[in-house]
Amino acid sequence: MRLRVAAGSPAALKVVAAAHCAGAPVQLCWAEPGEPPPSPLCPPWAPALQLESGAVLFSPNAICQYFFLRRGEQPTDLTTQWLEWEATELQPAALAALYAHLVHGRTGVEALGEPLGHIERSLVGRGTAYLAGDTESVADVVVWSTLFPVLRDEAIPAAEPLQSWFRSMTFSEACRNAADTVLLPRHLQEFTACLQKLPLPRPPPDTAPGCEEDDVSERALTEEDMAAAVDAWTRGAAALPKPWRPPKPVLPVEGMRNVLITSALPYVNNVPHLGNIIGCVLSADAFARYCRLRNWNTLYVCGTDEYGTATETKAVEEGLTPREICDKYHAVHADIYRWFDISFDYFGRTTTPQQTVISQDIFQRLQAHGFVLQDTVQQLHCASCQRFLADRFVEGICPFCSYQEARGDQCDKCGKLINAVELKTPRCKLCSGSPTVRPTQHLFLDLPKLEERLQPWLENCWATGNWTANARYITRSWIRDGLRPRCITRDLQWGTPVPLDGFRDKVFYVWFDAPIGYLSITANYTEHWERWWKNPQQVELYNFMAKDNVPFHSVVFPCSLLGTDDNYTLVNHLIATEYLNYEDGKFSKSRGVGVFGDMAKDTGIAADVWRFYLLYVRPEGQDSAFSWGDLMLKNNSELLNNLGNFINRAGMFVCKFFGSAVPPMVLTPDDHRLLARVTVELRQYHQLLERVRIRDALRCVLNISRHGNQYIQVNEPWKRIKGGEEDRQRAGTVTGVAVNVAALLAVLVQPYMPTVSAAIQAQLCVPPECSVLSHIFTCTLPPGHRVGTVWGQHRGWREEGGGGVKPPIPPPQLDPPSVPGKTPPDPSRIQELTEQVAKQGNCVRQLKASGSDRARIDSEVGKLLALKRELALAQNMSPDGPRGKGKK
Amino acid sequence: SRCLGILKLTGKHNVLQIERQRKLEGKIVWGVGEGQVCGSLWRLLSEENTRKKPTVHFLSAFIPILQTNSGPGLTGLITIASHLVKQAKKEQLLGSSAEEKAVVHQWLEYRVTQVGRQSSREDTRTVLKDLNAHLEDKVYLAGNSFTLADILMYYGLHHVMVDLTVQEKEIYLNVSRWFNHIQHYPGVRQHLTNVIFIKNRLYTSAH
Repeated sequence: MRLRVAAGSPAALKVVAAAHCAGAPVQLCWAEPGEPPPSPLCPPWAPALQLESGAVLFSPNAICQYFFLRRGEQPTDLTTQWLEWEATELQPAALAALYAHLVHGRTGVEALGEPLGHIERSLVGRGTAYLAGDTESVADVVVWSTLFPVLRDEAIPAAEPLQSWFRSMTFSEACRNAADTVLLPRHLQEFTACLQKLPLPRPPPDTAPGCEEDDVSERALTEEDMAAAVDAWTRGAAALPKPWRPPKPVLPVEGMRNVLITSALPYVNNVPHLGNIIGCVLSADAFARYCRLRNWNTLYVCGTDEYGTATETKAVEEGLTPREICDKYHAVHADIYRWFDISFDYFGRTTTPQQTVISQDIFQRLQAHGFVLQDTVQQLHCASCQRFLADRFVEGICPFCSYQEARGDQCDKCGKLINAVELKTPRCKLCSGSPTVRPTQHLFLDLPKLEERLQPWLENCWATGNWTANARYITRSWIRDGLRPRCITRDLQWGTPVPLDGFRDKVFYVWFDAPIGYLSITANYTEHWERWWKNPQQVELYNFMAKDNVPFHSVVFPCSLLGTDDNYTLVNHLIATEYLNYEDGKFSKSRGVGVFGDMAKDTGIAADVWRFYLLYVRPEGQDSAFSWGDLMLKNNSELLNNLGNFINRAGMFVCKFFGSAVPPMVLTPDDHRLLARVTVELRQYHQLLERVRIRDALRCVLNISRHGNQYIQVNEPWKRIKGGEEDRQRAGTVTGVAVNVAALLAVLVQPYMPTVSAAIQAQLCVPPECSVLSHIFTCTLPPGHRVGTVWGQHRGWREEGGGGVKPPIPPPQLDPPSVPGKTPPDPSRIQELTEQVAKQGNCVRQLKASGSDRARIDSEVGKLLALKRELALAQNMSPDGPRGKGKK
Repeated sequence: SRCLGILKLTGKHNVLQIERQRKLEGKIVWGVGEGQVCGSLWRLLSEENTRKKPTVHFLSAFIPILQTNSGPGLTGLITIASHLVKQAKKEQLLGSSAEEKAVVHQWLEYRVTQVGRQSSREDTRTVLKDLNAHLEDKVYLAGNSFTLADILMYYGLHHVMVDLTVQEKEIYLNVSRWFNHIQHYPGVRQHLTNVIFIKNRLYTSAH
């Protein structure tokens, strides 16, 4: 039998150990790098066993099973169960642990806590020396082999049966031999490389932070948590850092964190839809605003991408020159982004002299370093127009699905990419004549030669930077499929001219030249642009985009810059979103499906509501959908009933009961608990935003106001204010704490809803030097602080103040969204339920603290959750809270 | 013990597990809970309906547990399915030679790791592509005999096949042929809808 293993494959140890153990006569061969696998089903890194019948086994566990079957050991229920558990539970956990260990240098043992516990419980429960009985079986080999690469260097923090089982496996002859054969030091490097090429271990479903809010709120707060929160509170506004307001133009500052943010350049020839907006400009804006609040020295640039075929064809369509088309649509884009309150430091365009200078310089350096190739290409030529036709100037019949109106680069029907010369019966888009195929010279970027520079850069970048999982995955698969030279010239007039004899009638292809737009746009903003773009030591670069743009930013553009040897700032953090769908279909410009930037404005819904909802459903980690019904629901339940209601009540109590001055506060343990809860959420908010998890961080903001609402509801300041001295003091404390939570929220929502944030800060008269974020929640509105006018009812806040958070009116051409019938909330019912929730919560806490038995705690928690659900329903909130819509 | 483990309420982690379970309950993932698959398999194996239906619990929508009379429950689809097959004395469904047994195991593992967990559209395409290549020259997944691998793969893929367009069914021609064959195998289909396959190819130019 021929057993093929790839050096550095994580599963190699398993099959070799099983072969030794079962005494299978195998002939071990090492796969050469790049050698094709023996079966198309077999991933290149997986071991493969060629059977006598010619069949190929590619599953490592099946191979192990086979070795033991040959020896006559039939699988039992127990061995099968272990093998299944290993494949579905242990492998993903071990891979994640190994990945963390080898690629990020973290210890992997903690990550294996859960599976190790499972093994230990099994060994103890059955009282056997081995996993499936008193003798070694296939189960032991399979499980040990997966654990060993993770655990071998580290002491297992485990109790006796697990320890001795693991040691007896490790010291058995078969396993030791296998480890010596497979885990050679030189293989370790290949092992690492192999791991980097595997798709990142996926987190188990439904455990993303942000889904855990019940978990956080139910988690017992420790005394230390509360003491720290109280300490931070008493330090007051002086504990906050001074807000940094950089001089204009913003330039990197020695010793500061200098953050350069770009969002993918929108293509100029159409109106952006909501998917485009959330995909890059809005996501980057929320992050840029967060960076500024953190006092990081931040520059956010973007602009319209204006060169290319699409502009030229559009110009032909509208009877304008390409320049006129660009001027017209650049203004449309700038208008829409201004309306959405996007805080660009500069919004430029790519059709500037700086673009020509910088592109040509980069090209000439690449040419001088030998990274540019020339080749002959067969291309369609139109005799009557006397020009070579670029992709989009040709239409014809799709060679794959026979669609009549396929474009020269892609078929709209089947979506396949097409090489224009493959079109059946091609026709020129300008004159409808039939073009002929003629050879022409083009320039190519030599990506295969640049790969040796790309790889080490990527490795380093991934170890330190923050790339979304899809960005890593797409990049990895691009490199795995092999890099090929890419054509960087086109037969057009509307573009950056190629500065090389023989090519002067051609221009650079947009994807070579568009990312250079980031540089030239910055150059239009400041003559010192090189301090941002040729300064990798001081500058941290974030690129925001939708996932279809990843390869150009992770492979092609870095290769262009690396080839120049010019110390360019390369991307450190690549943040790619998935797609936003419209209701249940796709946004489509050509079919007019979806919501476009200009339409959003015409709906009468405030920009901040759009921002809130788009960021709330930001396709982070998976595709998501825009829906009118959901927009309305989230606006009503989260913005109005939760956030708006809390901030308004807090402010109103100060005005109504305390003559607009924050009352003195005497904190009790109940208040300490609230401060600690808010601090937990605040820390989580920072952790998430530092990793650019914008959507998840928004959940933390909403959780804080949920805690605040509950706090007011339980303490009833409106009743106590009418009571005795003690009650009145309590009302003052609760109002004072609540209004400070509101002041914190005003700053936290700034990245999401700048206008609303400004309105709240104005109403509460939050001092401007408190408009900054730190990790502590402190008292920024001390006793005696005077607030401004707070609208009496939250209806007012909804309709006039707060930047006009209005109930959404769907545009007339759309079906009215169906919103579940609502009854006005019944305050007495809400109050009754709130009391019950608080009581039941105390009951659970006491049980937990006293260490009661699990079943009891369990049933009490069940009751608590049911009550909360009922309360949410009574308050007209979605009973599942902000957990988002069910995944399909 | 795993069953107990998830009821523990002490650490943060276990609360999380309960939370997760609560969320998965009543939520239909891909339309096929693995427990439902166990039930279908059980009906298929016990044609005479003489034996009492065993109880299947769920650790989650993905991980069923079979409660047996003797000892702790069995966990996992492969484990439960193999156990039911042996109990029904239909061992040939697990393969006859050592080689065939290994191949059946391989496809069962493929079934639980690649099909049925919350998989994206792209994952599903990859599975269909893989299977289509594999079934090019085979009648059944394990070659020439009908095995447990075919049964479980059928249950796992049903919701995918229902949604395919006529054109996609042609692209994955070998999968379609195999699927149509299995759904007409006596006793397999049960309550599931019959997926229609057109005999004449419509998209001859499709690759």
